[in-house]
Amino acid sequence: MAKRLPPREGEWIDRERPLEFRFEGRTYQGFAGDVVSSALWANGLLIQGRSFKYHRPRGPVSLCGHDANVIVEDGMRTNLRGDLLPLAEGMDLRAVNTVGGLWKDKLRWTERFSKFLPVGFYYKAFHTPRRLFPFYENQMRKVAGLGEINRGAEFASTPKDYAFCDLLVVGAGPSGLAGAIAAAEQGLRVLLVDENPRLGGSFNWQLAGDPDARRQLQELLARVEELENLEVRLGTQAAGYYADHWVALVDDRHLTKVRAGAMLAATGCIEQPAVFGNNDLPGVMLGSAAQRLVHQFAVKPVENALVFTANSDGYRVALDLHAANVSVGIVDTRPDADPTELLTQVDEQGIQVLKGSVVPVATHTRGKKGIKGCFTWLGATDESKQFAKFWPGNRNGIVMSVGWVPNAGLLYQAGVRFRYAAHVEQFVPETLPEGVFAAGRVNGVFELSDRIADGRRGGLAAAKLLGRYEPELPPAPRHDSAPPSHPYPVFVHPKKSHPANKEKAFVDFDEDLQLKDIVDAHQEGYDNIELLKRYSTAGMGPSQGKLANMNAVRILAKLNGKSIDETGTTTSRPFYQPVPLGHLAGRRFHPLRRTPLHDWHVGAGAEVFHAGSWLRPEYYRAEGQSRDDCIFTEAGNVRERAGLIDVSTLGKLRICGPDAVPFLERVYTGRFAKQPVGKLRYGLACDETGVIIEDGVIARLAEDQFYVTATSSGAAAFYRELQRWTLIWGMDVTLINETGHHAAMNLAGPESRAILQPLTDVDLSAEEFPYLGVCEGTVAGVSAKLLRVGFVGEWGYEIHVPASYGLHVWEAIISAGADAGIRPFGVEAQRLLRLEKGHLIVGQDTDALTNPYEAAAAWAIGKNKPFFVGGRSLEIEQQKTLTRRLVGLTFADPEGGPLPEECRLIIHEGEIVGRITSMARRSTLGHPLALAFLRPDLTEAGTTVRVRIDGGVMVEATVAALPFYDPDNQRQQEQPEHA
Amino acid sequence: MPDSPARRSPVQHQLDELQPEWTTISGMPAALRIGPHDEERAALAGLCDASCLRKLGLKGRDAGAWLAEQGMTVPADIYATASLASGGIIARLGTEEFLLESGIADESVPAIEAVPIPAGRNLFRIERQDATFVLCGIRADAVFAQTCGLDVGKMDVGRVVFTRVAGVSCGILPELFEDRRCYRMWIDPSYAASLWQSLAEICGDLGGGVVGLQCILQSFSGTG
Amino acid sequence: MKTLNCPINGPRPLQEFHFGGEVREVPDPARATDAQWADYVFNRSGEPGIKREWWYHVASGTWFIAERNNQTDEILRTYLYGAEAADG
Repeated sequence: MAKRLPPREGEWIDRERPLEFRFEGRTYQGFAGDVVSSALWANGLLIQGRSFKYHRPRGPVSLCGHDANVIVEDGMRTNLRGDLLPLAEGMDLRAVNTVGGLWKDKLRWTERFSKFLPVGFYYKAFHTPRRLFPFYENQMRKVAGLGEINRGAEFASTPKDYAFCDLLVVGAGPSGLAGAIAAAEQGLRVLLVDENPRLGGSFNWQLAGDPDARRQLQELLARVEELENLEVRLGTQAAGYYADHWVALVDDRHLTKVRAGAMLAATGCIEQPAVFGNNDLPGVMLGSAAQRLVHQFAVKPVENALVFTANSDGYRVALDLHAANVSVGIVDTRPDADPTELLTQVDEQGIQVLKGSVVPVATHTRGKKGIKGCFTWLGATDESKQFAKFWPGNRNGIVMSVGWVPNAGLLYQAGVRFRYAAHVEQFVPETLPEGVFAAGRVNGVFELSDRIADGRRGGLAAAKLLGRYEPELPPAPRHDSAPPSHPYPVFVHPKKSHPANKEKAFVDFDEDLQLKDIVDAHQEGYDNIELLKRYSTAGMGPSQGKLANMNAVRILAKLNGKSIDETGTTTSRPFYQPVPLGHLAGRRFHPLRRTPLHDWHVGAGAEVFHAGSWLRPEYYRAEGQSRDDCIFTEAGNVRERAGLIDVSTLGKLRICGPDAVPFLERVYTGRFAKQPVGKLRYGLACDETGVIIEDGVIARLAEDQFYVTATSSGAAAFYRELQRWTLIWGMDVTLINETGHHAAMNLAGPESRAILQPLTDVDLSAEEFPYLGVCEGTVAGVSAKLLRVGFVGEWGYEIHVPASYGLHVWEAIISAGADAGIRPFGVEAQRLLRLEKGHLIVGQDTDALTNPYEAAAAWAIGKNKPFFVGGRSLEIEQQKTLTRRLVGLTFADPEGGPLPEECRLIIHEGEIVGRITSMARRSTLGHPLALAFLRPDLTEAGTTVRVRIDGGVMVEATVAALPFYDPDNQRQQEQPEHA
Repeated sequence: MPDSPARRSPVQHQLDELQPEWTTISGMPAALRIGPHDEERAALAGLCDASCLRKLGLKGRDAGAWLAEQGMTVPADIYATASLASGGIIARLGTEEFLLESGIADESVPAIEAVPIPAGRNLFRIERQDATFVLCGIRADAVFAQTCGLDVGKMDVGRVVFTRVAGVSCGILPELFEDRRCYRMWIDPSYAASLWQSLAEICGDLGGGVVGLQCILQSFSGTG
Repeated sequence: MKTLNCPINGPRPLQEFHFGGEVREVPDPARATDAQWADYVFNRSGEPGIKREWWYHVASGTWFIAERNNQTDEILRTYLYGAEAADG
């Protein structure tokens, strides 16, 4: 490892644990504690990626995930950040976005065509001629992706969880540590999170060369250890802030949704690059990156470095580099900086400083593989006195220290308003919502002592808000030295035609977006920050503009002649760093409902399907029979003998109390006052617009007690609305929802009575228990409600028993009916049977606009009702001309001919006149049937209509009166006794 | 036909697959022991089915008064619970609604069911066939951390909380069983199997799993 | 995720609730004209301001009213229907 430095205090690597790994087919060595990029760098590899558009060679710029220059994949996972991915033994990595490998990337010739790829080029070219667009699109997709998805990747469980705390502190640098300690000392339950594997934040790189700072860090860490109510989570990013202090915490294992009483963001700053020619080449890096390399990973960044600075931080960087045996020179944009301790030390070390100068362009080695040197331009502030000068000595690194941007994503998402403060040349928080606090550099405070004081103040402020700190808060520190950021770190050669200005100066490295692209876009009229962002794609790459947005804003402000505040910023959105989709999926809870008979159905060979949130038997499989055959056989058996179906999914409500009748009469369209106890009626309910929303059976158990069934899919919502109506109407009615608490089964067919009688104490004779009667008794020893209903058109009983007895009763009936030929039947057979009787299913034969007049259900509307929900609207509807009506259709029995499916359209004289709502390809009547909406003038029985199916084929159908089967309801009349 | 009809838990099938040692409680097969690891699992994250305990709901203006007349301690606050002398508990679910659950001896609910409701009183019986689960162990809170958005560890003992767990609406009642915190849960029977599967998987991941009733039997034995 | 303070169940994540629309007064159907009635059943107000809204806590079956500033999404208070006047 050519560039590894000797061991140093506080380094993150463990030299006792060497690791071997492969990158782009070659083997390298590193240590545990390295990240991939630091290990590669230690091996002298500065080129670690290729840029998105031009495929220029790239290397790490921030070394902390603020840039996306180094993205790798390991065959199983993709889009891993080289500067964040911890090194592991045996890793086998490749760079993304290359064709033919990193070094021989075939697409590196793209840069030669850069003239044809200006900003927004895809709006301007490659879409004509239109017939070539699919080809262009295909080619561009191939080169525009980052990383490949391995469809065979192993599934890893990543369950999400919740967490709770009084104060969430994001960032464990000087301010975060101080804030967390202060709050915990007041007794708050504190959760401190940091994206790094260690506590300390900038203590670990910016101030690592300062022995006094190192001592302060140790003191803070010791205090953190002592406090039991202070929980620490390392390697954890705060990915986004959501309402009411709900924050998503993400680590490599999973996502935690933490609800905090308050949040303190001590997230620090993101160092910003300077914009100058060739500022993207390997060897150009941020000062913080150089410090991380030196202090955390013990790697020598380059042999010769030019520190290009606009603040005193740059001097600290230069000293750290010098101490690591790097040959250093400084170019300072400031003609005369305030004398500070750091400036004195730089002098003492004999480091050369060129004041009042800037770097407009770097020169590159052959193949753009690195920096050879650079031009400097003296007299940065005085346009009249300028000349270019080539800085002597081979500089193979340019280390930028021109400024910072607050790492404020979380704060923006929390609704904090920022304003641009000239005294720091940075956005600072201006108004914060309750419970949201900011401290440290993100709050515009830069001296170490100030940062610690600010953090402490933030922690106490949170404690005060939560009622745990009485005294006055200490005063808020304020930055009072030179601004740490350059107001316009964009440096071009003053002479427009100078060859230096032909080199590419990048604003957004992710998107290969140049300074000139932004100027061009502005010229084309995209002069608003939102438009500029989307047209130029500035800030839209994987790093989401962490290194690009501020410079883009500064450039736009200058082009428009406006202030930074006037120019504004684009919206910061979660996530701070990319989050794997698996983390977001977690365990994926999809609760499904089962009836008490579910396991019996499975054991009996049921084909189970999802009916809304319920699992139900579609049909029961039979040896050698197709699905259609099974369904047809089940239906036939009901007509000829007896069938048993599980209808436990039905809503089962009880409406009780003195106002039960008036309540029902308001909710449903019908009348119930005169309904005798022991009888049941069909109930139809509409919403306020007169649209059918529910139907079911309303059974009167007592003077003031009604037992009501509702549709399986609509019951929960219906009950909810009934609860609301009870409040609004102020009626004395008690509502009870027993849907899941009863099993219900429908025994139907000519044999049903004979099968059931021995099992029950209820007299099932026609006189004692007529059609549409209800009574309570026992079945198979279990207390039950019995209802005689006719949904499938045969003599039958719906039996309701408490859920835990469901299986017992079901099995008793199956057993009792064995000799008579009873068979279970599923949902599909039931749908066929009820279709033959012309019974509609709400939501199948009605849609979101169907009123009772259209659905042939006007008979269910009670006469002279003072009020019911939807009544007023139906009065209006009744005056209008009906545009459609639900009718029956029959089809001539084809020998394998085509038939429509549901929703196929009925066409008449070139117009759409209706559609199929329910279709039975095979029926017990011997020919296909359907229910359909049809224009009223065509609904006379016998009218022929045509239905369009696939391929424009038209199928003929004939309008028929409903019901198709047993129009006189003979099946509900007393039949001669069976032997 | 059997003498008295058999009841069945909503998660009977899931228990069957574990081949437990069975017993019968209140007419329902109940898993007494799953296996030799029951105690170990219960100590960490044990999930137990107590659906055998009989339940009854009562609703109406006169419900509270009538229950008091039957000699019950009627909780005054909504979501408060009280023990019943004959074993079991009573919970107040609303200003006019109560839920009674018998203890293992199955006395409280049948006793109340046997009392006819006098005419003219505004109270109505509600069929309650909820599944009852018990979640115990030092990692029980961690199970909730993966399935529930509330700080379960901070909930008061003896107060029911209605919320969603793993996407299923249910009631959670923190209780103390021999000074250790455990949670009784009431779930609509149609959702019970789904919730059981989620909880059993998570308990397993945390070193626990499904356990038999024997581990927690005493807490339902009643004070009498 | 936003927290909503149910008058009966206390503060809960928004996920536990169902939104029931704005609280609106029903015009007397016997006296409203067809146009007035149509306006009531079909039209809704998108006006910015403090809205009185119906909210339902699903697990406990509780309906209540929330007063919410629909521009800032701030909930001013919640109370049971009819208990509006009784506010501490």
